[in-house]
Amino acid sequence: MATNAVAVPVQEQLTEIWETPPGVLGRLSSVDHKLIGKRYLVTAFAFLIAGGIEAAMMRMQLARPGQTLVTPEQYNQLFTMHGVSMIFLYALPVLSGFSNYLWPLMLGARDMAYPRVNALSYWVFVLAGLFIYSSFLVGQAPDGGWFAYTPLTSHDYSPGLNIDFYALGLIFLGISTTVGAINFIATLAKLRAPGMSINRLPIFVWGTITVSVSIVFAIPALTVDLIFLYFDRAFGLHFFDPGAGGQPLLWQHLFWIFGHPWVYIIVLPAMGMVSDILPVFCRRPLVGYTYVALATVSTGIIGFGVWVHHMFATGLPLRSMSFFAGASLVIAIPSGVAVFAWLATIFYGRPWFKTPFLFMAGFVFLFVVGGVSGVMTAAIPFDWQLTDSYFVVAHLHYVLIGINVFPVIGALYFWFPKITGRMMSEQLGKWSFWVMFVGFNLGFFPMHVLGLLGMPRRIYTYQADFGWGPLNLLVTIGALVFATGILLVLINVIVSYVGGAPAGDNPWDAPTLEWSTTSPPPVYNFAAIPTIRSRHPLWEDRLGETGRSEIYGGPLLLDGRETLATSPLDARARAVLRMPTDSYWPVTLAVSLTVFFYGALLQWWWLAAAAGVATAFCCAAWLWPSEDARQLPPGAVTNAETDLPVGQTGQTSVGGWGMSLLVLNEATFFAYLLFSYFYLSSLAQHAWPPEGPPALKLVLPNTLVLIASSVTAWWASRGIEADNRNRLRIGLISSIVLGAVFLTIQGFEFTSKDFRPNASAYSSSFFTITGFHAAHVLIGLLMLAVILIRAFRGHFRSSNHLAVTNAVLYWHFVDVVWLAVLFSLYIAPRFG
Amino acid sequence: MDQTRGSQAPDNRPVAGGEDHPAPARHRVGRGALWFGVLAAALAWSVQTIIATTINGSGCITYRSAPPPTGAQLTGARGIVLLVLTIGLFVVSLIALFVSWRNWHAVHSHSDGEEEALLEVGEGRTRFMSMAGILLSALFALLLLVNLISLFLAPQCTP
Repeated sequence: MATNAVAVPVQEQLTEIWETPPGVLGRLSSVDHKLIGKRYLVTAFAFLIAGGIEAAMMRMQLARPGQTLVTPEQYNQLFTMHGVSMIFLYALPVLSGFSNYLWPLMLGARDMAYPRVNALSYWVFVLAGLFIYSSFLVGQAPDGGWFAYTPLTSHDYSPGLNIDFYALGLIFLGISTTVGAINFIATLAKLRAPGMSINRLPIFVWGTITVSVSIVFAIPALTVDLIFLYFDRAFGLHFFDPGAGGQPLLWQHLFWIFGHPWVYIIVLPAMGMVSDILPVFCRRPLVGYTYVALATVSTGIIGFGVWVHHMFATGLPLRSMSFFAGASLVIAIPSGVAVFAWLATIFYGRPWFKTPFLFMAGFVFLFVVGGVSGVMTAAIPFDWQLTDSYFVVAHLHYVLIGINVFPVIGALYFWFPKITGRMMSEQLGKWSFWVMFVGFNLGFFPMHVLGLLGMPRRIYTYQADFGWGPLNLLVTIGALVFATGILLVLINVIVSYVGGAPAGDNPWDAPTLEWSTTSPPPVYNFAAIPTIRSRHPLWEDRLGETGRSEIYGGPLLLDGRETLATSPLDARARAVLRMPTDSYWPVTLAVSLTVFFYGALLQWWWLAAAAGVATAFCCAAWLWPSEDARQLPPGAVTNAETDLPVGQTGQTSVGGWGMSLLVLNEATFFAYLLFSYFYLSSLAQHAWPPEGPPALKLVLPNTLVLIASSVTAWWASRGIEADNRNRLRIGLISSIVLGAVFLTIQGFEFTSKDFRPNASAYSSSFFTITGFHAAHVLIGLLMLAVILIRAFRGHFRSSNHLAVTNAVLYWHFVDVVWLAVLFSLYIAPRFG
Repeated sequence: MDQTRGSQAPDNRPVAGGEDHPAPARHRVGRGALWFGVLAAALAWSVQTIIATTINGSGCITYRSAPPPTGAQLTGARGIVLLVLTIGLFVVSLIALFVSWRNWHAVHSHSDGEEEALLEVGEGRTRFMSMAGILLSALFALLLLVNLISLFLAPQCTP
């Protein structure tokens, strides 16, 4: 047994420290990453089933020509919600579920870096999903396609609530995605077991970290796009209205700047799963670990430079498009490297044909087919013929089902024993694979042919004399066979959960750290923090690797919920961290946000404002330190077991990483806002700005006011570093006053403008950009106010002032953004 | 207290359980050189793509009221800037490749095992990052080369 090396009383003590309180209310407050991971998995699979039902209904409608099983409007809602469900509500959340459950176990930690944020990310995910699906209750589900192109989705052509559900729901969901990504990055940077350097990470971890970094840079593009869409629809702004200087193509640019990285975000962790699982069933390490890890990272990076291949048919300049076509071809190279690595692993291994192996091997075939059709459409002339046809539908399903669903199901078979302590039925597993594999290829390969025969996407029906009927019938049959395979998986899950054979700690004889625990793992993961010396801690003897990891002899860390903080590259132990305990604030905050978004949907502004205030209160209450935390200044106490300091402060601490990543994410948000401004200005057919450059006489002194507030904030933070609490208080008060003066002057400037936000695309941009900056100033002022109250209560000293550091960093960020806004909106127009 | 169950260490002492340092060759290559090798080529490609797309596209907007240029020629100031920018950033990627190769050369012999062990065992974080620099720099240099060729082959605008 895994934890026999640690005495039972220690295990009991750790259980008491880490276990979730009992009952429904207790589970609402839980921050246990394993519980959150399981919730993500179950919820994601529920959305998979919902999306599958929508797909089945579409296929029944298309099985024969001229059918009217649903109305055209219902069909529009079906294909839109099918896309939204699969791409947003299933594909990433299921990977987040596995990542949440497995990361601390793979990395040798006791939890994620931000356990409460982890809980928040789940609650926001499920509530955002329910928000979007509540649209069915009023018969107004999103109906503009999952990518919602303007002007179709503008208010003129989509007057109902459909697209408002879409825009607000995805903005809401983006909060979950973003905080989740920040959590993964900070966890990887700070919470690995000592010795787990970056070259010893499982490839699944490489996959998730790559997409987490991608999310920080990609989601803000979608958020900006959706805000523009919502503002156009709700307030009559003109971002996408060509009659007022707007550009419909702006929607597409922003959407695909997000959207293409997104399609790699929803497959790279799954490819990582393949890279970790396939070697287990080939009974040898992955061939070419370094190449595969770098193929993952490079795919994530190049993925940001191919978005225009979704827009080849929009009339963009050819030479510009060729850059993106080239990148779309070259991105196949790292994918090819990975494929050859997997094939070599099988070839040089001793394959063990269990169910997980079948799914992973099947994935390789489907990945190649999907990749080849992708390389074909990367060629611009070829894409011109097949854009918006069923050829593209075939390609995207081969890559999304092939690279996400198949590995996920294989991963389910692989990790189900660890999660539940029970084995899934091998016989039912093999049946489910073959039914899924045959059904999928029967259902989706003919779509390539249908596309070549000219069948467009998203059509409601077709005429009999087009000759598409027989293939469509075949596709429908294949889809239903595939669905049967999914059903077999679900039956297997239920049957095995109830009565599957006991799994044992490591039924697959796998090499990675999670298999060193019991099945299921104890609530504290590891009784002793391990020390890692190789890539395959449980295979070291047979591989003859030079290092010998120590799984059971490390520090126990029994003084509360504790884990080790380590350095980013080499995982050198740096401190003992006190982890946050269970809390109701994450679920409360998520509910508050839900109310806010319903207020915005219904344009009940009083409700949205009240929920906004509640949200701010929840954030402040959540971050208010507990009694225990206030009494234990970090750095002044040393852990007796390890000689390491307890807690960390400063920008390189766990909390510092979180604020830095949030600032990076928000800076990216403003970068996309300013990109949109310059994009619109470059295509403006009239003068931009229409009334000439905005006046500087108010804004220049106001800028000095804001810069002064940064100086006083810096002075305050340097004061507490020297334990000067008076200086801290005076500096904070000064910054708050100066910030309030800035907002007041800016408000006066806004009201004295002789144009309104809905006058033109220019005014829409001007007020949106400056308005969002003002909102960030307001949030910064609230942060500083809370810090000031805490300062007066004596919470801070030189050894304990991370909250001050974080708030001041945020304040500096707000001021730097203002300089960029000043240059873009006030200075640059003066240069023509 | 068991002395092997964890102790704080600067980088030259074993820590928590007494593990050896995962980057035994870290003193042979500076961190700046390592990160330059890993990141510079990718940044160069990103900058080239964004700026070249903007510059090229602005030339097509100018001809809104007249037929846009349909040839593949690089003309005028715009053409010169595109060429200089792309060649310059391609050179940056080659420099990153060279730096990475030099890093690799400084550290690749510093661990046990032959090539198989190198790729599979997980020794040497410094060696790993050096190799990462080589592979990433080569890939992004290729992308920049593709973009350079596009300057000569692809028509500037769409008719």
